[in-house]
Amino acid sequence: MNHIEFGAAGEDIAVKYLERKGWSIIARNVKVGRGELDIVAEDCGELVIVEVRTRRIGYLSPAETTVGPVKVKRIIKAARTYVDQIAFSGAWRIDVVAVTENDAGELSAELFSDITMGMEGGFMG
Amino acid sequence: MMNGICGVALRGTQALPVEVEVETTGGLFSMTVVGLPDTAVKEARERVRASLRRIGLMLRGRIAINLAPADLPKEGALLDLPMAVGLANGAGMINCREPSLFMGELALDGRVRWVRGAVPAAVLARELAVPLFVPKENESEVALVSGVRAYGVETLLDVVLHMSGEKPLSQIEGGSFGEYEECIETDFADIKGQFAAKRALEIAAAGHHNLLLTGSPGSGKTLLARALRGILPPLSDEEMMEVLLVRSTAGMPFEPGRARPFRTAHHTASSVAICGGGASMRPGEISLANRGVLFLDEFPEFTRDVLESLRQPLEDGTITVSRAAGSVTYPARVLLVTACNPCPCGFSGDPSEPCKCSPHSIEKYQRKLSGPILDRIDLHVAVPRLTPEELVSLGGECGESSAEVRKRVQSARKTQQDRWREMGFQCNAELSERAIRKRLDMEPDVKPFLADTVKKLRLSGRGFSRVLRVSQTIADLEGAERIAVHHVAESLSYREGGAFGRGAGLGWRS
Repeated sequence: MNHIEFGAAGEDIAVKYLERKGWSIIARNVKVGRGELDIVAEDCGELVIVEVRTRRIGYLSPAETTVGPVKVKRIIKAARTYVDQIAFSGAWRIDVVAVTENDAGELSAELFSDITMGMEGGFMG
Repeated sequence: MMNGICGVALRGTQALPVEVEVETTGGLFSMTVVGLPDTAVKEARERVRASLRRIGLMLRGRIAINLAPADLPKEGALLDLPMAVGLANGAGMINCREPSLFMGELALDGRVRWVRGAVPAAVLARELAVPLFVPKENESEVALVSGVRAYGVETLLDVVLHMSGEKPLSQIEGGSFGEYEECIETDFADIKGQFAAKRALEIAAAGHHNLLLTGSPGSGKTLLARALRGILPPLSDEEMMEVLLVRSTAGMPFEPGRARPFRTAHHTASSVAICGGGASMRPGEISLANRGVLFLDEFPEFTRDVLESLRQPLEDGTITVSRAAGSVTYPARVLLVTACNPCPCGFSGDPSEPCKCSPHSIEKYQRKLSGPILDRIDLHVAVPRLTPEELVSLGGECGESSAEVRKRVQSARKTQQDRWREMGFQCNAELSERAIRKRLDMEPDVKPFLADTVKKLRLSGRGFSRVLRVSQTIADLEGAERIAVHHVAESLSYREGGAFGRGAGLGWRS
C-alpha cells in the first residue's frame, strides 16, 4: 500500500467515523480550483469542511498537528470558493479528522472541531 | 437616548452609554468588533466566546459587534459583559425586554470580574432610569448611589437566569457611607511641643488654607502634616460622593468611613501622576486628594513642571486634562500641605547647628519655588527643632487631642458655610477679592492698623488679601463676630518670610 492508497484508506475510515456520529456526507474529494476538500458534511444544520490527515505509526508528530497555518489558509480559500459555488449562505466551519495507525496496524479516527475558531487575530487574514 | 443592551465608556468621572449591536451572518466563524475599541476590548472576543460556551452557547458564523457611538474611543474590559449579553440576546438565548446597562470583565469560565468605574455607571443608570448589572465585587460601592436599580452578578449565567425569570437577582441596596473613625495613627496629643505649628494646622484646617512647613531635618514636619488629617471635619454626604466618584474612576477599592483623603506624593512624581492623564486619562493625585489633603514633602525637589502645573488647579478647584483623545475635567479641591528645608543642608536659621550652604546654593534652592506658587500658599510656618528639654520630657502633657481641635474646626467651618452660602463659597480660602472688599466685617481700629502695616511691611495687593482671609479664619475659630487687631496680627506672622524673620537666613522673597 503506497502513501496515496493509505491516505484514501484513512479518508474511508474518517467517513465511517463521521457517519457513526450522525453526520451526513454531502461530497468527497471536491476539486475546487487548485485545492481539494477531502470531505464535505453536514452536522446539525451546519456545513462542515473536513480535512483528513492520516499518519502511519512511527511518525514523530501526531496527524492533527500537521495542519499548519499555510494549510489552513489553503483550506479556507478552497472552502470559500466551494460555498459560493453551491450558493450556501449559512454558517460553516472547518474540522480536522486525524486518522492514526496503532501497533496492530488498525486505523482509528479522532475529530478536532472548528480549528479556525480564535484565529481571527492570527493567520486567518 | 438608548435602547437595548448597553455598556459604558468612561470619560473622566462621567460614564457614557455605549450601545452594543450584534449581527450574525453565515460563513466561517469570525468575530469583529468595531467602534474604536482598544486592545482590551478587541481581546474581549476570546473571553466572551469562552464564557458563552460555558453557558452552552456555541457561536457560529460571522459575527459583527458594533459599539455605538462609533467615534467615542472604548477602552477596558468592562465591555465584556454587555457584548456577551448582546450575543446571547441575538442568539435568542435570553430576551432582554427593557434597555439595560451592563458592565463587567469576563473570566474564561464565565465569572464576572471587578471593574473600575462602577460608581459613574451607577450615576448614569440613575439618570437614564434603567437597570444596571455590575460585578458582585463592585456591589458595595454601587450600593452607595441611592435611587438606582442595580444588580450584582457573579457569573454570566446569573444574568441569563435573571432575564429568563428562572432565578431573579435581588436589587442592591442598603449602602451607607459609614461613620467617622478617629484617625489613630497620629494624634495631636502625641506631638511634643510645636505649639505654633499646631495652631497653624488648626487655622489651615478651619479655613482650608494651603500650608508650607519649613524646618530643619527631623523637626517633625511630616508628623505634623499627617496629624492634620485627624483635625479635619468629616466628609459630608455630598463630598463623600465626589470622593467616591474619583476613587472609582481611578480603580481604587471603596473604603467606608468619612475620613478625608490624605495623599502623599514622592518628589520624583511626574506631572501626569499629579495632575492626571495617561492613555486612559485617569485622575492624578491632586484629584484623588479632592476634599482632603495633598501632602508634598520636600517641595522644592519636585520638578518644575509639576510645581507650575499645580498653579491652576489650586486656583480653580478643578483640573482639565486635555489630550488628543479629548479632554476631561476632574475635581481638585485640595488642601495643599507642603514641607521643605530652609536650605540644601537643612540647618539655615537653626540656632544649634551651623548652616554649611553657600548663599548662592541657598538662593538656588529657594528660587525653585516660584512666586505664583508661594502666592497660593496662605500659611508659611516655621517648624523649629525641639529643645533637648522638650525632647526628653517623655510622658508629659502635649496639649489637646485631635478630637478637641476638630470640634473647634468644625464649628468654624459651619460659621463660614452659613456666612458665605449666598455667595457660593465653602470656606475663607475661596473668598474672592470682591467679597473681601465688601463683606469682611472689622473692628473700627483694624483699618488704621492695616494701613500702617501695609506701609511698614510693603505688602502687595495679593499678600494683603491673603492676610485678611487668614484673619477671618482666625476670627471664626475664636467665634468673634468681627475681625479684631489681634487676629490680623496673628495672621501677619504666617506671611511669606515671616517664618524665620528677615535676615535669619530664610527670607522667602522677603
